[in-house]
Amino acid sequence: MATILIIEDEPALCDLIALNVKMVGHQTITRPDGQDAAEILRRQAVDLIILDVMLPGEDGFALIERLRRFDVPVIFLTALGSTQDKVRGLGLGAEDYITKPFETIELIARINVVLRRSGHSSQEFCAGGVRVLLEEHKVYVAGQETELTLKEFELLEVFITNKNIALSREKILDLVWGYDYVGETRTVDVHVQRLRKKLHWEDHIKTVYKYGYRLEVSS
Amino acid sequence: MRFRYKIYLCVLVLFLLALDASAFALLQKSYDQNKQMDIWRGTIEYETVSETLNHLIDGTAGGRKISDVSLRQLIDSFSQSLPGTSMELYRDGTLFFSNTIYFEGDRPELHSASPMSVYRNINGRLRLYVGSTLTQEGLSLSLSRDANYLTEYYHLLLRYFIFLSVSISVVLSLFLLFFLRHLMRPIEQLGKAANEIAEGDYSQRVPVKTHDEIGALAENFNKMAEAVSEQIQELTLLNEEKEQFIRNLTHELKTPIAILHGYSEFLQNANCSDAEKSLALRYIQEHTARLEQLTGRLLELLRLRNEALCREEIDIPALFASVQSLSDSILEKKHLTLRSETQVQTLCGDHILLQTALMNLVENAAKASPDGSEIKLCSRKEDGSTVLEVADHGCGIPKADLAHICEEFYRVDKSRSRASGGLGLGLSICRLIAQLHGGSLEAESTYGAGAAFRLVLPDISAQNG
Repeated sequence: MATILIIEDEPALCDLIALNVKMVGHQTITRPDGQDAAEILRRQAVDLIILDVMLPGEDGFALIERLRRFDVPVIFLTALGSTQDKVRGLGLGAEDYITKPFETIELIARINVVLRRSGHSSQEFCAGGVRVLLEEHKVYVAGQETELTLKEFELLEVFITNKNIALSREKILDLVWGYDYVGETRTVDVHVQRLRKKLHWEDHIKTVYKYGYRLEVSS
Repeated sequence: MRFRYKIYLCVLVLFLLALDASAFALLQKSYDQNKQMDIWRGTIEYETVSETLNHLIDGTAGGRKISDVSLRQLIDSFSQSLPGTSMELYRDGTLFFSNTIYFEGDRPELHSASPMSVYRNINGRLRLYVGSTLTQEGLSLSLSRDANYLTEYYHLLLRYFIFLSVSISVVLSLFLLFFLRHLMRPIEQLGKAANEIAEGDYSQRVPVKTHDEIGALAENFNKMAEAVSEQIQELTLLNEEKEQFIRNLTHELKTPIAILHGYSEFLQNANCSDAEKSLALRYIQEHTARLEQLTGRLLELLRLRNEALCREEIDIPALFASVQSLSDSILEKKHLTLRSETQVQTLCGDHILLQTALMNLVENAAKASPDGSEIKLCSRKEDGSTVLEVADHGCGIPKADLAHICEEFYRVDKSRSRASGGLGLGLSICRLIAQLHGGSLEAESTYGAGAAFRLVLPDISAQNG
């Protein structure tokens, strides 16, 4: 669980990002501008900043320069997808760049990448009597080590990364097997069944009617 | 070949040709003159000698034929008194006396009654022969003298001239090269400056030093460079403006779309509470409306740019009244009063467009004004134009923003104007409407005290289109 500072002047977007981020288990601080950003970073430990480049008053790029000394990773958010802006943002030290409109899953994924890179991601996940050590690829069910196949573990990782978010079968197929896999979504169902059984997670991996699956855990 | 070398070669060759030709002619003339002098001198000498001889022969012979012996005596003594000049005496066709080299050949001068001069080349040297017949029958005299000095003199001059010619050529060459290089420099500068401008440095100019054609060329070049530079600047500015517009537009469109996409995705995927659900739906509705408004305004802007104006005679009090009734709801919310003052009663223009413009201005005024204050709507004449003014006592516009407020999407205080539904397009639409009427939009404001917006419309007679 990380603390994420969201600086976005459009309240709807700000709330949207905050909701999504909270869903996967992180804490959020939201601000419509960067005025007291430095103050916040000084006061408490922030693991990641999500920043809109088009802010009223101070420009997002200028803000990044100002906050550089705090050494907190930054993901830029913007409507402009021009190469020039991307290069500028990354050149100023941003970890990553995401353009509007974006898919929630993509945002979550990028956040996780940045957190992992800066060493803030937790390597352990616990829920419903299951303990997962993400780096060692070990799973313990009620204290007992359980063997998972490679694909089963990758499926578990996807669920954990996107916990509380409904994932379509197609999406799961894409994330775990990749586009190259020309198979049916039946594979997904089969694997989910196996995973449920092995982890005794019948109550945690919920089926979303006509859509897909969702891992439900309390934050 | 470089231009200055072309000039250099041309001048040099022409000069040398002219010099050589005239020198040659001069030398020739000089030689001829000298020859004439020589002949004249020779002839005078001959005349003196032949006359004296004639007298002597007459004196000795007494009118009769002189004897060979006497003649020989005479000649011998005579010839010694002529140093440098040789004598030949012919008696009856045969050589009687000679103190010079004998040679074969035609001797026309011996048969001539008056002194005749002939130049002959004897053993490589020029000799002048002057001769004629003497008074005594059968006698011919010929005097000759070395005239080689003439040739030598000619050759001396020739050699001298060649030396002179070469020296002058060298000096001229150097001078020409230096001078031409100096002359050509401004042209080279011009060429270099033109090249730099072609490569993108529009600030290049050339110095104007002379008052001749080159100076004029330099001045004109500078003028041209200035014009090009200005044009480029204007185009760059225009392009930047366009880019900024597109950047702003992209942001304004993509933000609500991202929100709609995001929240609909959220509702589909998330395991959310009822409170979160209603929040999501509220945002979706808000931003759908916002997108609708935005596209509406943009289409209006587009339409305005492409449509022709429909001019007619407008009754201003009626126009103001319609604006008032249409703005009622906005005014009521904040208990604002709209006061009209019409100093001018009629105007020629497009009724609907002017109504739209005034509505925009009144709306802005209403948003800026505190509760219960007054908004003034007035019309008056100013320097041949009709001015429609909307003035308020609201929060005003800071000086720094005043120049930018008519730009598309520009908002002074984004958060506030977003809350009141502002898109930043209203004023650019008003400005466009004013421009379509051949006029302009003026803004005046004191930050904190209020603002006044004026549609300045020049008076034109009522004619459609």
